[in-house]
Amino acid sequence: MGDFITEADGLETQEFILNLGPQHPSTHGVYRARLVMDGEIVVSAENKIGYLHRGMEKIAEGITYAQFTPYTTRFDYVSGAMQPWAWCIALEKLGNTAVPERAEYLRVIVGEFQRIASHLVMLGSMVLDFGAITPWTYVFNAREEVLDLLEAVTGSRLLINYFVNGGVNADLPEGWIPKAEKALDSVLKRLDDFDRMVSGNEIFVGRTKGIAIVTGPEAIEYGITGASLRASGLKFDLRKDSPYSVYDRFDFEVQTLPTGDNFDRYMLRLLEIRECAKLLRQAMKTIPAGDIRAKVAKVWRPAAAEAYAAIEAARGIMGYQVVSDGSTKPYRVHMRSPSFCNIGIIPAKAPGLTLQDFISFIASLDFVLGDIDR
Amino acid sequence: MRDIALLAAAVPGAEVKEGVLFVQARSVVTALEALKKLGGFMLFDISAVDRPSAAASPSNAPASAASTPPAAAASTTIPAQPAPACFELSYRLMDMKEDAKDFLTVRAILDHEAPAVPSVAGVWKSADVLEREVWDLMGIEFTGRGPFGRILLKDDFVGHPLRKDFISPKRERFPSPSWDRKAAEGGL
Repeated sequence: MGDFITEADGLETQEFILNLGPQHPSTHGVYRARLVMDGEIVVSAENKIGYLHRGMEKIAEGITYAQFTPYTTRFDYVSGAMQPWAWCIALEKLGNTAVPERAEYLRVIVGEFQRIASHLVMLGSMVLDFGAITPWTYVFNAREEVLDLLEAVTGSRLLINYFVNGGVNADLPEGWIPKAEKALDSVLKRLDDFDRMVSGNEIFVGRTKGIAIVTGPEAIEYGITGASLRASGLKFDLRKDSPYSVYDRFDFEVQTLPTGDNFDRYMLRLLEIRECAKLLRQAMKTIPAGDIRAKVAKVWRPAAAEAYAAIEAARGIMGYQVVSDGSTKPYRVHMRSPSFCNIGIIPAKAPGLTLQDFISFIASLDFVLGDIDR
Repeated sequence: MRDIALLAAAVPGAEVKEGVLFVQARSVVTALEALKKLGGFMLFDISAVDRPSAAASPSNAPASAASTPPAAAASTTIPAQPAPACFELSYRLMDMKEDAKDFLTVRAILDHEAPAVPSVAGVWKSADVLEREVWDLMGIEFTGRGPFGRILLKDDFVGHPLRKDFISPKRERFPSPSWDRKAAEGGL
């Protein structure tokens, strides 16, 4: 073959630019990577984001505190129910509101079910990126059961507007807990099926083991949080280390894995779902009776102050800085989103990966564009 | 978290006020380097707050409109604090060393006219994207690092929207040639 193309023809190997996204199913949203490619090897990568920027921090300055609460679910829309949590904790700090105990338990229950649903999406879509369609149906079936439970409590399935300043919106419907216990069993059974199907699969393992290794010090350097940090061997989880809500009352382990490659980042979500189930069973068994919402004035004016609250969301540390000037509207709202920092490592780790490994790398980081762009 | 007074002792020129570590804007890099040397910290957030002086704070009202009645500005009032106009730049570091992990806020007060601060992207790699976001939305210059463009807003965007004197542009209709053509032909 080499005889046909000679240097005399003026043809030579050269690098080219490949735009991956923003409309590409493997980028899980409107993420765009500007890749310089040498054949199928990535030479350099650059994150191009902002296609979904809605100016939420600016919007917040023009509306009241209560009006902004539903906006928060639109950040990370894959784990919508958890999103207002940090915002509500920040408001409760500003207003010195004591949240009733039952409301805290309800928050934990809904939040952990949402974490399970979110991790299931990650697992399914990651194997879907490898062309494995059948396992995806298993986890999405399981997720459907979780969403049905959430719908029964909150009234909606995806953008769940359940957490409010001072508590939650609604109590559990009658007979919900036995149903939830049963659904949890079936979710775990489906997850075991998925685990057996995927985790030992030679193609899957070949494309994930030892690829895009992020070591512990690197993860800290780049500000990676959440499951991707724990997959690099660091035992850090705000639920355990700086317990908010009532997380200090439950017995659960923070899962870690040693290597920090694509496979570990995948496996860690699997382990975390099982741990969430353990936590949920305890919470559903010990939930106390009582109020679900503290009394908060309709026209709510916190004193001029500043509050910061951080939670362990499905993708890492989510933080809200809320500055009040004593009026009914926030003076400044800043949101720290986990996905925005997590993708910072992509340009550093991409060089040398093949294109298909790059896809599996960004899938294993599990980012959501609504969370990045805000 | 480790005792903030002990941490302040390790940082030259730092001062503790209400649980926040205040440093001079020009010594931000040395402060964060000193904290990094102590070990166990992760820089996970950088944010800025615009505080124009109380007199010049018509919040959402146009900055140029001197004839605007003061009632328009009354919806958002800034507490009459003695502080002059400034930007508050906060770095948040997660302390991962102790058993009870919590975060530390390091804050620098910047000049309101030309807010600029040395970049800490050389100290913590996570600062790279975080600083870009702060410049994009708040317009704080980070000196000593390579040039960078908009990260969240489009490249030809003018201004920094989170500043209090930013005037939101009127929403424009998205251009649609086919719609315009049909309308011109009277086909609508």
